[in-house]
Amino acid sequence: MSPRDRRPDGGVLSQVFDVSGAQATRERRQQLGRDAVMALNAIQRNARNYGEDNKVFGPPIAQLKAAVMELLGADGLFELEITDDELWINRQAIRFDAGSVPLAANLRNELRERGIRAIVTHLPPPDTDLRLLVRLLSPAVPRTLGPRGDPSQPLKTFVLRTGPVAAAPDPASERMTRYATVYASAAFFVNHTIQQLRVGGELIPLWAASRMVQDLVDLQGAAPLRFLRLARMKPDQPDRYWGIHAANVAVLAVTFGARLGLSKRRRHDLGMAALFHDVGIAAIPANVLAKQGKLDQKDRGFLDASPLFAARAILRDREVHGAALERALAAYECHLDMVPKEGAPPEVGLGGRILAICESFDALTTDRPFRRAHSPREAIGIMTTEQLFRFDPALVDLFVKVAQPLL
Amino acid sequence: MPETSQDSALVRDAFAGLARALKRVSIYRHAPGQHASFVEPVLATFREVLSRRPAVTISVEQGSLTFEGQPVYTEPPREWGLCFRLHRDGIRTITFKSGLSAEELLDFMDVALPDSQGGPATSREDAVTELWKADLASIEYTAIAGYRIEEHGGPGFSQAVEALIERVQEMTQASGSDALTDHGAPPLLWDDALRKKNDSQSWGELARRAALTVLRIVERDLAGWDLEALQETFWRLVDDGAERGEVLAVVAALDGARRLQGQHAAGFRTALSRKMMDEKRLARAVELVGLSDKGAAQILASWLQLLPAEAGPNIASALATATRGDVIAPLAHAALVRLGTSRAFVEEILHRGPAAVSLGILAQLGAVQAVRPRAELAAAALGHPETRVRAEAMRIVPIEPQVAVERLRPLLEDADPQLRMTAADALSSCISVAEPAALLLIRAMSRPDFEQREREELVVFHRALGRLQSTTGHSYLAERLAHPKKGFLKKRRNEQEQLLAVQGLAEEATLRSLRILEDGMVPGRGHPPSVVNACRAAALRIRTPRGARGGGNQ
Repeated sequence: MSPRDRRPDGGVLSQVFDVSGAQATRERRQQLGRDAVMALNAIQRNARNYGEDNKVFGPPIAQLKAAVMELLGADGLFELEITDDELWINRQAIRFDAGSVPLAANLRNELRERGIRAIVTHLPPPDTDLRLLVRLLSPAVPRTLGPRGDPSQPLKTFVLRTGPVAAAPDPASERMTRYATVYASAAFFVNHTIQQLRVGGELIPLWAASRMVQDLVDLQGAAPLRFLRLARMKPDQPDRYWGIHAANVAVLAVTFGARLGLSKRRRHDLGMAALFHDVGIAAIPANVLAKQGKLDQKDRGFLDASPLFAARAILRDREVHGAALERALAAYECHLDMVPKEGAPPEVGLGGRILAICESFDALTTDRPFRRAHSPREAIGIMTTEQLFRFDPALVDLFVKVAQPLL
Repeated sequence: MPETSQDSALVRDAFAGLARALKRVSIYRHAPGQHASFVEPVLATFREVLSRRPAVTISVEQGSLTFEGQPVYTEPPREWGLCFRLHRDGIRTITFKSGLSAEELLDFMDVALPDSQGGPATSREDAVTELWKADLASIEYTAIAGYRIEEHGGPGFSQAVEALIERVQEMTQASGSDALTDHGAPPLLWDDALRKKNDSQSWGELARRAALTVLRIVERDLAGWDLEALQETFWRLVDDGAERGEVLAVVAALDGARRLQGQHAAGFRTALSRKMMDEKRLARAVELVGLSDKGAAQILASWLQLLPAEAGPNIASALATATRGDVIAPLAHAALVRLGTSRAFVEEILHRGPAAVSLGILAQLGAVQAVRPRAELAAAALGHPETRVRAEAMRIVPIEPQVAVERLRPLLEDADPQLRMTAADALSSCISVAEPAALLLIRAMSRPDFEQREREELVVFHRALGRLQSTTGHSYLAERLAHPKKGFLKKRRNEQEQLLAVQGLAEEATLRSLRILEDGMVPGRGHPPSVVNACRAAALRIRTPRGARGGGNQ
C-alpha cells in the first residue's frame, strides 16, 4: 500500500506514519532522500551508455550507499516510494528545488515504466546489490520484475514493490467521517501550532489550515445544521481546550458568516481567523492559564498581551495580502472591547466583531479551571447583558438567531 | 486531421494565447480595464474547442501543462513559473467547461499569474486557496488530497486526532437521527445593503490597521525573536501600499513609525529607512504626491522624515528630476539636511540643474544651519546658466562675506547688466571684508568700458562702493569728487563723475564722507552748481537721523 493509498480524507488518520517530530531529523531525511534520488538518476542516465561495471557508476553508487546506510541507521529502513506525482523517502514526501525537479520527474517516469513502485531495504546492501540496481535501471531491464528484481540475478537485500502506481484517492469519503476528520484536524492544527509556538518549533504549513477551512466552509454549505452542531463538542482534557475552542469558533463563525450572506472568500477569512485567534496563548505561562483564583497584575499583563501575540504569530509570516491581514486583525481585534473602560472605542473590523461573539459564546459554554460551563441560554444571557460592552449589539442579536439550534 | 489532434491543436493555441495574455496582464497589472481585451482571442479559441467537446482537462506538471498526454504549454521549471507554482501548491488538473466566460477566465488568470521574479510570493495565497475562493463555475480543478499534517504533526498526530474523531462521531450520533437531517439553507439575516455597509474594508484600511498593530507589538516589546519578521511585514505593507496608491495607509504607517517608542524603536526605524531610501521606492513616493487622494500631499514629507543620513544621494537624484513645486520643496529640504552625503549632488544641481529645482534648493537653504556651507552652496548656483538662478544665489552668498568676495568677482563683469548690479549690491553688504570687496568693485569700475554703461549701473556701483565704508573706496570716491578725470567732453564728464561720487559718499554716511561733502559745498572749490547742490543734499541726508528722513532708503 503506498502512502497515497493511505491518505484519503477519511483514512488519513488511521495511518500511523513513522515520522519523527524532530525538525532536524526531517530535514536530514529530506537531504538523504534527495541524495538517493539524484544518485539513482545519475545511474539511470549513465546506464544508457555504459556497461554496469563501468567506473562511471562509482560515485553515484557511493552516494546512494551513503544515503541508504544513514537512513538505515536513523530509521532502520530505506524506502523510496513513487506516487503518481511525487517521490517519498521513508514515508516523507521529498521536496525538490526547481533545478532538481526535472531529474526527479525523470527518475519517477523511469521507475514507473519498469513497474517499480518502491525500493525497500531493512539491511545494509552489499555492493553487488547496488550494482544490480544499475542493471535494473539500464535499457536492457528484463520485462518482468519480481520483488527481488530480475529473477535470474535476484537482489539480496533490496525488495521492489511492483505494480501500477495508485491513483490519487477519491476525495469523497463517508460524510460523517469527513465532518469529524475536518473538525479534528482543525483542532489538532491549533493545539500543535500553540505547542510549536511555545518552543519555537516548526509549524504546520498555512496551506494545510487553509484546506481545512475550505472543507469547513464547503461542509457548512452542504449541511448547515449538522455542521453547526459540531460546536457542541467540548474538550475532555484541559490541555486540549484551545484546539477544540478554536475549531468551535471556526464552526460558529463560518455559520454566522453564511447566515449574514458573506461570500465564500469572506467565510474562509473568518474560519482562518478563528483558528488563529487564540494562538497568542502560547506566550502565556501554563501556570497562569491553569490558575483558579484571581490573577495578579503580572498575570493580567500576560493575558492582556495575548491578542497582540496572536497577531504577531500571523504577521510574522510576512504576508500582506488581504486575507492574511484580515486574519491577523480579526485575531487581535476580537479581544478588544467595543466600549472600553477608558479611551476611544477601538477600530474593529467585521471579522473581529463576529469572532468576539463566537469566541465568547464557546468560552462561556465550556468548563474552565476558574468556573463551570454555562448553558448556551445562560451564555447568551450574559453576552446580551453584563458583557454587552464587548460586542457589536446588532450582531449579538443576529447571533442569537444563528445559535438557536444550539440553545 | 483526426478530431483529437485537431482539438489538441486548438488547446495548444488557446494556451499559447493564454500565455500571451498573462504576459500582457502582468505588464499592465495596474490597468485592469484593459485586461478583458487581452483574453478575448483566448476565449474564442476555448469556446471553439468547447463546442466540440464538453470539457477540456489539462494536467499540471512542474514544467508543463498537458492535454491528453501532449504538452500544450511548457516553461522552464522556475520557482516563479506558472506550472511550477500551480504544481507546488498542489493543483494537478484543471478542467475548462462549456459556458466559460471572459470574467471567469480573467479570475483564473489572476490565480495563474506567475509570481514576480525574485521577490517572495507574499501578496497572495496559495493557488489552491485562490482557485477555491474564486469559485469559478466553468473552471474546475483537482488538487492533492488531504492536509498532510501528519508530516509535521509528529508521532502523537494519529492518536490525538483519531481519539477526537471518535468523540466527534459519538457526539453527532448521540444527537439523534433528526439532527442529521438538514432542511435547506436557513434564511439570510442581512440584505445586500447591510452587507455592504458592514463589510466594506479595503486593502488600504486593513493595511493601515495591520501596520499600527505591528507597531503596537514592537512598542510594547512583544516582538521577541519575530522582530525582524515584523519589520519585514511592516515594510511590505508600506511598499505594497505605495504600489497600490494607498496613500492614507502609508502615511498613517510612516507617521506611526516615526512616533514609535520603546527600546526597539530606533532599530525598527533604521531597518525601515534603509529600505525606504531605495531609488525606485523613493520615486514611487514622489509619484504619489501627484495623486488627488487625501493625504497625497503628506506622503512625501512622511517618507522623507524617516530616511537615514546616507539617503542624501538618492534624494538628490529624485530632486534632479522633480518638476512639481510641492515635490521640489520637501526633497530639497531633505537633501539639505543630509548635506554630509548629498553635498556634491546638490552642488551639481545648483550649478546646472533645472532652474526650478535650483531655485527650490536656494529657497530651502535655511535648512543648512552653518553659514559658510550655506553660502558655498549658494555660490555653486552662481555659475548656473539661468540668470534668475544666479541672481537669487547672489542675494544669499553675502551671508558669508569671505565666500562672496571669492565668488562674486566674475559676476561683476558678467554680460548681463542686471546681474552685474546685483553682484555689486551683494558685495556692498560684505562690511567685514570691506577692503577686498572695495578693491573688486574699483577694479570693475576701472574697466575702460565702465563709463559707457547705463547710468543706473554706474549709480549702483558707486553706491555699493560707498556702502562698504572702506578706506580704499572712500579715497576713490573722494578723489573722483575732487579731481574728476579729464576727457574729450571735459565739463560734462567731470560733472557726471562728481555726481556719482557724491552718491557713493552719501551711501557711505560716515563722518569723513560728511566732511568731504561739506567741503564740496564750499563755493571756492569751483564745482558746478549741480555738484554743490548734490553735496548739500547728501550732507543734509547724513546729518538727519535715519528715522526722521521719511520715505525709506533713498
